[in-house]
Formats: sequence, C-alpha cells, structure tokens
Amino acid sequence: MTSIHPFETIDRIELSHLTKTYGDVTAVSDVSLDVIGGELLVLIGGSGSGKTTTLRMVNRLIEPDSGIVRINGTDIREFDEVRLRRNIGYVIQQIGLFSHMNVGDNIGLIPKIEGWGKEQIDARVHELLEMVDLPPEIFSARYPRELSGGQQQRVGLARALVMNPSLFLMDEPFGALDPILRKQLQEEFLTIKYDIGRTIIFVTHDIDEAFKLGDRICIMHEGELVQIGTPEELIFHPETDQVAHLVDANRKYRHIETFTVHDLMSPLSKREFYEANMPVSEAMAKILSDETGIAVVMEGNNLRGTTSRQNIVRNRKKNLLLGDITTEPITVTPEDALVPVLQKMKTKNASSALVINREGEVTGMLIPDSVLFHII
Amino acid sequence: MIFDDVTAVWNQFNLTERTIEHLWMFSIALTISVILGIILGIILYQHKKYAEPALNGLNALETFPDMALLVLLIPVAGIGEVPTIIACIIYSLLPVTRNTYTGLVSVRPEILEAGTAIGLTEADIVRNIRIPVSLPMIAGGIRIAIVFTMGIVTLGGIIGAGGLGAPLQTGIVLLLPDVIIVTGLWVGILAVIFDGCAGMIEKRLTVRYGEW
Repeated sequence: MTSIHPFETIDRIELSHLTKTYGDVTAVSDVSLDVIGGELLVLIGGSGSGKTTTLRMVNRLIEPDSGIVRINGTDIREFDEVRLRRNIGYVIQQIGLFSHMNVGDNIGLIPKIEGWGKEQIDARVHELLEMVDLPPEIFSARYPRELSGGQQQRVGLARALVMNPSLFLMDEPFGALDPILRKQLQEEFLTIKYDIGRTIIFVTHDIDEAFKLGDRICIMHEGELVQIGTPEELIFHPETDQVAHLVDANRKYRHIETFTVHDLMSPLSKREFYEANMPVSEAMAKILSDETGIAVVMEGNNLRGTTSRQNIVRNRKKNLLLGDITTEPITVTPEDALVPVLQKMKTKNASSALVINREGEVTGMLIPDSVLFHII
Repeated sequence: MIFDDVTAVWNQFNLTERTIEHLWMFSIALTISVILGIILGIILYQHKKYAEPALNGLNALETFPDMALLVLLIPVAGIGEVPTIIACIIYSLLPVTRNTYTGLVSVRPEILEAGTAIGLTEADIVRNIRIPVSLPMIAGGIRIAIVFTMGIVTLGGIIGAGGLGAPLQTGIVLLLPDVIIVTGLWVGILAVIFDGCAGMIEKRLTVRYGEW
C-alpha cells in the first residue's frame, strides 16, 4: 500500500485519450484534457454526453477501455484505489448519506476507519459543520432523514472534505435543489472554494451554474469533447453552432437592453422578513428552516438591511440582535433598466439586489443569471 | 371459581416447572437457529451462486409437515428434547437465513456507491453499511423464527420432550378440556408476549437503521 496521501497537492491532472464503451454505446470517445491545479473545471453537456463517465474515471469508479488518467504525472492505476478515493472528495446529486448513521458518524466514518481518536474525529466533525454553516451542537446528532435537502447536501460536502482532499469531484451536487436554494448554495460553495483552494472537477447540465462556478468550462456532446475554455471564450468565440446555442449568446440576451428589473426579479413573501430586534440566536432557528438563506431585516415598516444565513450562523454565540449584523443591500426599483443595475452589482461584487417599489415596500429580490454578468 | 380451577390444573400438572422446561428448550433452539441463520446468511452473501439453491432447499424443508418431521427424526435422534430442538432449528433457519441474505444484498445501490466513492473497502462496506442496514430485516426473520420455535417446542410434547406440550398431550389423550384450555391459552399468551417484544425490537431497529 502506498502512503496515506498519494498526492498532497494537484499540479496537473491529465486525461489522455479516454474511451469507454458499454456494448454498442460509446459513452466517452477519445477525450483528452488537462485540469490545472487549483482551478474549477466544469464538465457540461446533456444526458449521454459522457460528462459523468469522464468524471468517474478520475477516481476509478469506472475504468476506461483505453486511455490514461495521470495525476501529477503518475498513472492513477499505480495508486491503491481505496487510498486514491480517500484523497478525492466526491459529492453527488443523490448525496448518498448513510441513513443509519447520524451526521457526525457520516462525516467521521473514514477518519474512524483510518484509526483517528474519538476526540480528533469530534473536533474535525465540529470544524467541518461550522464550515458548512450547520451548527454542530444542533446537527451532529441528527439523522439524515431529519434534514432538508439543502442541509443533507451540506453534510455531503462536509463528508467529502473530511480527509482534507486536494481534489474534488462533484456531480451535479446542487441539481436536486430548488432554484433559490441552489443559487444560495452555489454562492456559499464559491466562498468555501476560495477558502480551501482545491482543484475541483464539477459536472453539471446547467449552463448558468457552469458560468457562475467554472474557471474553465469543457463542453461535451455524445461522448466527445466539443470545446474547452473560459466563459468569455465560449461566449465570444464559440467554435461550433452547438456551443453558441448552449451559451445562448445570440438569442436569449439579444434584447437585454429593453429589460427592466421587474422582468427578472423573484417576488419575496412576508415570511422572509425578520424584525431587527430579534436576537440572532432566535433568527437562526428561523433561517435554518427557511432555506431561502437571505434575511430581509425590517424595523417596523422600514428596511434595516439584509443579512445572510452564513452571517447569522457565524454570529449565533454572540449576544447580538439581528439589526446589529445587517449590511446595506443594493436597492433598485422594479422600473429600473436592467443593464445599469447589473453593471452596478458587478462592480460591487453583489449576487443579489433588493427590489423596492414606489411605495417603499420590499417586493422582491433580483438574483440574476451569471451568464448576464459575463456578457454586460 | 375460575381462578381456583386454573390454579388446580396449574398445580396438578406442574405448569411452572413445565414452563421453565419449555422456555429452556425454546431459548436453546432459538439461539442456535439465530446464530446459524445469520452465519449462513452471510456465507450465502459471500457466495451468491449457492444462495438460490440453498434457500430453495431450506424452503423445501419448510414445507415438510412438522409432525412428520418429528417422527422421522426419532430413528436419527431418538425422542425427547434433542429431536425437538433439531426440528425447531430446521424450521427456523429459513426465515433467519433468508432475511439476513436479503437484507445484505438489498442495500440501495447509491448508498453502496457512495461508500465505494469515499474510499470504503468491500469489508468496510459489509461491516459499516450492509450489516447495520440489514438489522431490521434480520430482526423480522428472528420474529418469524420465534413463532415457529414456540409452536414446535409445544409439539415436542408428542415425542416426550416435556415442556408445555406434555400436559397438552395428556389433556388431548385423556380428554381433559380444563387442561387443554389452560395450557393452550398459556402457550398462546407466551407466544404473543415474545412476538410482541420481538416486534418492538424490530420496530426500534427500523426507526434507527431503516431506510427513509
């Protein structure tokens, strides 16, 4: 058996001439690409495009018929497959939490098998649950069936992080979640991504997700690699009509100049409003079950500001009121033209803006597609 | 008075002693069939090609009339407790083995794949996933075995195994309705109690380890 860590950091992953057939069906046909250490590479394509098969060849869940995967120059077949997988975080849409184990045991299973002490495991579980904004004192002892879809996905992420892997494989991890929650988890994931600075290969069929998360995007179709490049390259220099169609550069956003905020905003219900004098600890209980992730904080009928679930969870032990931890959101009116608003959001690096109508009521949120940010 | 009648029958036929004998045979038979059944279930899981013939064989044994089995065991194992316990095991092995095997093989594939993907070995998966997830199913098998064993231990009275089957047999032969009713009801109550306890354990395991 090789050492505990077959690789400490990723310099380069080379997929060269990978082919995999199942009977008459060619799942992956002569795919070659390089993943650069530290980047998030998105594999995107429809069903049957071979993106998942390609991903699963990297941790040897699938062995290619021909072709080689090398990590830092070493053929991965030279690694013990169990060791290899323990050093690759793997997150999938179905999550695959073990229903008979509580959250803590799910996360701590591999460390336990690796022979860590109980205290060391507990400390690690604690640390990871904090990282994914699930208060350990509440969630560690819960069973997966007691969690919402979003919470399960967070636990899945924490489990994948437990051995501190330098490489992550993610297969539509947010695919089963409703759109608002998905956007919010993507946001959080982006911050975690920068925190941990890992190499990630990410499979999705959602172009918007690809644009939001990917440093580079690899478009696949019917088992073949069509084009690989940065979001800008794909939008401005699509090599085929298919790519142009997928990034939708020509059609969907042609009339963007005529759009107003109203056309793209999502309405907000009163349920998502919080009172400024609510203690943070109390707000946490509400936002954990809320799933929207952004709290609009009101002082009577006046807007105090907004705050995120992350902010609430991280401040839960301080004796604060919700009003103390709000930030001033970008506010727009439904009648505002969309393009200037997007430009403003882009410069301020904001992913959402609050929509306030002429009567001064908060009526919705603007959470635009990431593609938009790239083309304006 | 009914209570006095019951006490009279109870004392005359030493039902306390008979109950102890009965439960003793029951426990031995059940323990052996559970241990054997689980081991056999795991062996069949490891050698799946034998699983179908083996389970079919046990199934065939199961269809054999219990009375006839006891009689057939006389030349082999004589009369008394030993053939009774053997018969109990023969009948109870199937539910325990079948449920253990089925439990082990029918874990949801995505759970197994998640296990493989995070770096569990085949042995880790059996120990940490397959066995715990199968516990409710295994408990269900044991529950069936409890009912079978209770019935056959009672039947052992015919071949001189003692236990509560003995007074029941006496009652049948000598046409003593009191004895038949008291002993019969008592055996029934015992079976219901054991089955109830087993059911509770099964339910708890299902809540704890079951799929959702």
